[in-house]
Amino acid sequence: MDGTGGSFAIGDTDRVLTDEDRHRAFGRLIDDGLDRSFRLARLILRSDADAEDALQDAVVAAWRGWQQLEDVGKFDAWFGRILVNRCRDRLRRTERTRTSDLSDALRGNSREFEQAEGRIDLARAFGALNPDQRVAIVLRYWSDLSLEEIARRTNVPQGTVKSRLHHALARLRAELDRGEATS
Amino acid sequence: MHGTDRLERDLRAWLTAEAAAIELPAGLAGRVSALEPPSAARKARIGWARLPRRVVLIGVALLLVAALVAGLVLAGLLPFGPDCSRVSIERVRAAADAVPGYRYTANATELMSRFSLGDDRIPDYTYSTAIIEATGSYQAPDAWSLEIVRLDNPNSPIPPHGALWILSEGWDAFLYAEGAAYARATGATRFTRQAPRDLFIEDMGPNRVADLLLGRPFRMGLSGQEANPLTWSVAVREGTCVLAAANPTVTEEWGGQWELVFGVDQATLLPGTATYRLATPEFAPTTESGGSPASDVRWQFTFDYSAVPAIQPPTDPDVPPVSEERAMEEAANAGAGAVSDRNGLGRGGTELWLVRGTDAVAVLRYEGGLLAATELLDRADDVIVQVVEGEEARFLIVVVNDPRVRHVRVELTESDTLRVPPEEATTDDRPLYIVDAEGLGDVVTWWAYDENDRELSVNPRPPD
Repeated sequence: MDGTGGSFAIGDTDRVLTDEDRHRAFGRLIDDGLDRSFRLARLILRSDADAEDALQDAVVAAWRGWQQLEDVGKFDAWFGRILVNRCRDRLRRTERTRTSDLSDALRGNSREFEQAEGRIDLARAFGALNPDQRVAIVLRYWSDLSLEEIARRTNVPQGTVKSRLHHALARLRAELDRGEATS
Repeated sequence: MHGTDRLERDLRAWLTAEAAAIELPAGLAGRVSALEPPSAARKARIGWARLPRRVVLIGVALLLVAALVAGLVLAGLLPFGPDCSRVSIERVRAAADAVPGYRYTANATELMSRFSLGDDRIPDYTYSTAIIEATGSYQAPDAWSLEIVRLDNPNSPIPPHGALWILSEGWDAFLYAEGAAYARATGATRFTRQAPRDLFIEDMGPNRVADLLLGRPFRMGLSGQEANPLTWSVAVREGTCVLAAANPTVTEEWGGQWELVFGVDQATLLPGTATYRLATPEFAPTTESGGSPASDVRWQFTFDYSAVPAIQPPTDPDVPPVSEERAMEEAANAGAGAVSDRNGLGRGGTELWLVRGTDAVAVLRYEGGLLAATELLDRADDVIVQVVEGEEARFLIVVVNDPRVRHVRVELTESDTLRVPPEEATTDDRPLYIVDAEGLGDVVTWWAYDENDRELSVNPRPPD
């Protein structure tokens, strides 16, 4: 797993796929990676509703481009890129028109991990990051992608990825230190 | 104050916990699978009925011929593809499991499949890019295991069919399989695995196949006595080496022909490193695992690495043991392109070189004279400011790619703002800067200035 979906039998690329094969394969690939894709979107967007919307947008976009994807074995990276782009776009939009997810508010702090003060602080600090920084952090520290792969997924040079990560970590550190100082 | 390591650790833990707590919304799978753009539905309605009858007939005829050929191939009457004996993952798994402290994780098969041909069998001439996670507890930082598995057959088209399995106990259990075959087949020269610590393996040609760098001085290898011998060099201190032959042919042809050579590469290891040869008599089959006894013989021996002199850091911390020429060569090999500028600084056994090439800027970190890490910085960034940590020192590097930039001001967490280069110089003199950053803290932000001391907007921009 590389962060967005299940592995695909690469051997399938050795033969010519019919439209029906490709249709079925698309459904299977999406289904296999659905859980992880949703988690990725949810981590970046921090909202169930936004994550679901972004995922559905990404699936539609992926389906539209599906016929142009020559190497089915590269589906994971390809779909991951689409999903991350959708998340980033949505994040930029929601930054301008901020909405709060009712389901998240109702759930409150019931999650076990949020009981730990440090993690609440991290959640708050993470919220202070800009969209590009959020994407970089999640891809690096949750999806465990290399800098090179993150650069490919986000379509920026590796140096920019490094810079985003560096500044994101600096921002997180500053936010955490600020939180400690005020508490 | 949150250190980078701690922050990264906390981030991973937090993201993992968050992800685990996320529940897939009820009905999402159904909603997603129900998505079907109009173009697809329209396409589906066209159907076969609109195709010309001749096209359909030709298609059916081709299908019949294909089925006939497939039947002959399956029946063994028609030869197909290269004669490649295949070794199942189970045998590889058994070989790795036999090494104390390691076993494959559930991901092993998945990863292996991803890097092979998608099933659980590995063709001997293409498999060698597999990266397999293994579990293993941190035991001793200086203990290493090395296993050479030859998974081949005499008819394999790509000699020498070698695979190098490296099990590092001082590292969080990553197992890397690398072989000359892969590099030859693809022309790739470099593989990188970033987590949890940087791992670089570079192919350096038939005589220096693998160079494994785990953030500490480390080289390992095997020398064979075939017509086209492989030579790896090794400098480790203690541990166990395991040689495993997974093919009866290997046993017959190669039995007694392997030798381990430690510290043989005088060009890259420190001068004075001794060479130890463990010749034929030291090798004896000790265990058999998996498959039939005749087809899977493991040869195992233990070597006391303590006999190998420990790598000594240079006595004079200000005199780098690594030559400028060597740094330039390493940078060019790493893919930096034709070299133009370079700058090096050493401190306490750790040495850093910045080498600018036409394609990238290479950051070479040496520990005790051995290359410990190579990083390529993108030249698309006008200014790069970052801290590079070594075992015994830390450095601040400033790389200026934009000729308008004459100096950079760097704000650090635990000191005043630093001007790079200092007052008396400009980036015209030297665009690659290395500053001894011991005690300087981390980079908060930075600004770039032109010759008139005006702040410049460059890529990437520092945070507001």
